[in-house]
Amino acid sequence: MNELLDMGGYAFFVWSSYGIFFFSLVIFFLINILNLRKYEKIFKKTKKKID
Amino acid sequence: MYIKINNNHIELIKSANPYLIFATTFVFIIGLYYSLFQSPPDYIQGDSMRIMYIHVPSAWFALMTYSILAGSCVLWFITRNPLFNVVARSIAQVGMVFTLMSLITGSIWGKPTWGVWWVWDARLTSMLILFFLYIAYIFLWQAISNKELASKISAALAIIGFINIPIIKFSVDWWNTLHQPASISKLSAPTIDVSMLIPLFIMTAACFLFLVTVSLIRFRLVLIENKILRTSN
Repeated sequence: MNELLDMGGYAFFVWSSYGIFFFSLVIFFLINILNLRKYEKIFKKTKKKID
Repeated sequence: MYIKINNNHIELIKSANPYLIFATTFVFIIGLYYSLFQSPPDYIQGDSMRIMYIHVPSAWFALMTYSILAGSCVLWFITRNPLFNVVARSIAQVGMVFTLMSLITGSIWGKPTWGVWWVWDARLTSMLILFFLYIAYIFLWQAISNKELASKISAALAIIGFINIPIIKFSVDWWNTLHQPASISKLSAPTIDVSMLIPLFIMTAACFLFLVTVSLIRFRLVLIENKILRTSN
């Protein structure tokens, strides 16, 4: 386990790369999903107003 | 050629969404297992080489996405079919994220390999230009209130910017750069061992699934944005 965490002395470089990569992808995905829901609600409201 | 998107298509995209999210997560988990546990450390670079498994797919999809973006803009100019505009706007942000990831992970990998975080060499600089092209495309569309004009200007920028793609690809052959030449090419056998190729291809598949999943979410988002714009005008 320690060997895996240490990454042959490159722990900072390897773990920070993977951390930044996956954190960014998850945040980007969530932003888009939440924006989609927000806009779907706005669209339903504007449609109701027009109807 | 006038392709139209109807409610059935949207429903189909919507129903595929949970499966795509599951598949993306699943392939990423397998990819992580292979990248961090199964793959051996490199003879020279040691474990820092594991950054390749996220850096290389990011760079590949940064280029591929920009090619699709520029292609969609060309098709929009020819056909004036708004669908191509929607496709371009849907994938632009995904491409920007992959470019940023390629730059960040490349910079982190550069420190233990080259001894520096950044050098102004041809490959790195042309990749940075690609990132600015994505930003310019996204912000031009948002900044111009006349959407017809915004579409024209941003599409023109995307097409002109395509000149950067072959520059990125061949920069390592045309100039002396710190960045290594391509290890995988169509014309010759890969110079990477199979034990490293497997995790690389699994992570590439995971990134591709992510690209498709988020692009389809953004496709629906852009369509709704357009509908709101039309109803409020």
